[in-house]
Amino acid sequence: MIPALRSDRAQDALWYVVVAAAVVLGAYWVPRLEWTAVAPSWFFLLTALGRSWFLAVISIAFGALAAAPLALLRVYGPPGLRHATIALIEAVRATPELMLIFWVYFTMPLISGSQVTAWNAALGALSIIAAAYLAEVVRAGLNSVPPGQLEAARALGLSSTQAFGLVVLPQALRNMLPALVAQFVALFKTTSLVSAIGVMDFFRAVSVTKNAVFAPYALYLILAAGYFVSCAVISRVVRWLDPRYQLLE
Amino acid sequence: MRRTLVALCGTLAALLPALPGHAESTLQTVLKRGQLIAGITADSPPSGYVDAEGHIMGYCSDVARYLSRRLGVTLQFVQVTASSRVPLLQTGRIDAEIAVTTPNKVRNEVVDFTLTYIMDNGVLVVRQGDSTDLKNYTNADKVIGATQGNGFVDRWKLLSPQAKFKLFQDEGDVVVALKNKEVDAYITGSFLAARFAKSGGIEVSKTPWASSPDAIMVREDDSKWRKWLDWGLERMWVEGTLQKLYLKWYGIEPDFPFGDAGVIQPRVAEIGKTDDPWHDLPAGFMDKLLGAKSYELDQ
Amino acid sequence: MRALDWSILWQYRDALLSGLLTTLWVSAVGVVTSTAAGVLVGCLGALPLRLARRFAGTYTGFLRNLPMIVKLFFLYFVLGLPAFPAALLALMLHQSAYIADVVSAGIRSVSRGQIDAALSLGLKWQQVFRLILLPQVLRIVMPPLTTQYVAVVKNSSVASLIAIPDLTYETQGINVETFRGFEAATAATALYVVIALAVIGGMSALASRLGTR
Repeated sequence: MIPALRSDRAQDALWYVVVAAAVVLGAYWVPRLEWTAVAPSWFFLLTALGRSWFLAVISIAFGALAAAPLALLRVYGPPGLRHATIALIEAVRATPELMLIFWVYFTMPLISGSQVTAWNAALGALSIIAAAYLAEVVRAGLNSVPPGQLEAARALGLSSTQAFGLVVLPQALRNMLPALVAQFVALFKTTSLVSAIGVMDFFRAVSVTKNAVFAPYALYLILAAGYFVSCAVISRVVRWLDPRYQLLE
Repeated sequence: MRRTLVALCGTLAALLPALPGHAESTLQTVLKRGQLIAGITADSPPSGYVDAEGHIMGYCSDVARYLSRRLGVTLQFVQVTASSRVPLLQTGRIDAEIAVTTPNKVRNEVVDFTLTYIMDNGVLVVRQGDSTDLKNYTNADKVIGATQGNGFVDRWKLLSPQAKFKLFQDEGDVVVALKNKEVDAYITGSFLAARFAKSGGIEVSKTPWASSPDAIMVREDDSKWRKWLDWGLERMWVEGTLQKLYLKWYGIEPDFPFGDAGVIQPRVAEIGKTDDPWHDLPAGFMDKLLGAKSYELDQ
Repeated sequence: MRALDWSILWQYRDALLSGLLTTLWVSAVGVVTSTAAGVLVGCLGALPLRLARRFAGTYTGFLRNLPMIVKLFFLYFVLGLPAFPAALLALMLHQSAYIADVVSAGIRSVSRGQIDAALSLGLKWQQVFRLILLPQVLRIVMPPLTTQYVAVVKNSSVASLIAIPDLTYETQGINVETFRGFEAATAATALYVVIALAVIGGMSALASRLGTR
């Protein structure tokens, strides 16, 4: 380790130099893109980004609702039900998300007999995906609490429910938080796949604009910025909710 | 592990759909419903695209607007992609795909096509300074770029059987790949190429090397519906509407023999007694349709 | 009533096979490189050195907030890298960010007290690492790593968008050429699921071998 870099101040200084260099590079390159061509489409792109957000939030909500009982079944359920749940979760997780979306949109109507709009199919498929992944996150969280905690709580006189709710659950939730955030971010990224069935989400809006006006570099940047800002905001919100939550610093 | 496999087999089995037979012609379905659900593309200007405010534009959507009025029904657009257009048609989500699909034999085994209503001329797009002569690109070490599902890929394979392709999802992406030297030439229709040429840095060959016909796609074995659409297109031709729309969007008059080897069926203007709705157009409709804001006709 | 024509799969078997092979080796390289990078950055993130933690934090924070497709497009279209390097680099960058998080969380979850106690008992750092940190971190890290590796396989399909001839690319090709999307998609889904199950099974066997089960 270079002796000069041992001090915190030296390290901070080095870091800020690197960041400043990146900012300068950006400030040079960004204005040289084709912004005038893209300008008229800003509202169209913004509403599409909103639609992606909506899809992600609603399907995470539905997914979370389904994931909790799924995870509990998987950990505490009777053997037959437990194995069925495992099979279902693994099947969904092993299937490529795009295939699931296609399946919900094209095949489900044939089985259920009713027509499904692209939007509803997208919501349904994303919720199923969210549920399967969140079930695993919840299970990992529950398992991460040392069993000694539950035993100690019971030994101290708490009932099973109290022990679970007051001792195990809070710790499990705290341990789950990084993985939960990761899943939400991953789901937000997955929403881009619904463009394949024609839903006008952010990704599709950018490609449609790319075909209408030729400004690819500006549009790639908008694509990156849209997803990056959205995902970064999600992580920030979590940090605000739980001040003790730390990612790596 | 075994249980997972069983669950998966179940899922896969459910993926084998038993498609309901369509005893009733789509024509009847559309009339009963009072609405035509047309699949259109947003990826192929000027045939089908979406403008900056999200309005559906293009030759295909105008044809759809006209035909729906003649049917006496309202219109609903469903945006399709190359991968979703056939499943959407087969499962009844759309009544017809009014976009830029090229008929070929393998596709005809699964769906049916109307008369050709767009003739796309294939051109070669290359980097500025490179030759636009076809002969330079038919050897095996050149990489040709195109979009997946493009009818020109088959045509190029006829010219140069051992050609190497790189297929992308978006036309714009192929142009960037061309500029980045990831492909040596880009094959596409002349209308699209003209739009991209404005961005600079690329050259378009002057003479087309192939023609790719596009037609409206409908479900298999639905003759009543397909025939009505054929009659509709022929009537538009006799009126001159098809030519005017062609000129509006493509800047040229149709340069192909429309109809059956250039001949329109005699007596196509006679409105039939059954299964042949042909309502009058409201006043001002044609002016709007041929104007720049034809999307205002959408409810 | 349209009959499904499974013979299309036999007709296009060469395409499907070559696509499968491409997916397999792209995923394999992706797993190896992203694990290497992820472990490196993850360890950096658990070090007491401020600069290392800052770097690791920015690395994961930045890369995790960008979808795979955006990274891919940037490397291929904006930076102009050739197709395979762009795809492999994007895959590595994408997955290593998640793996780094998993690894550093795993390291940090081993309570500091154990390390302190071991050190005070006279154990050297290598011994602490081998006897205390490694077994516990491995046990904690195996399940999420399995998820990550399955994700590598699925994310490799994004490379099809820049014309890498993997399984998804060939499936799309069959679909747009013959319009027999259901058959092609079923075959592709089945193959992806089989690969995923193989990964899960392999990791399971590895975990048993390492004695962390």
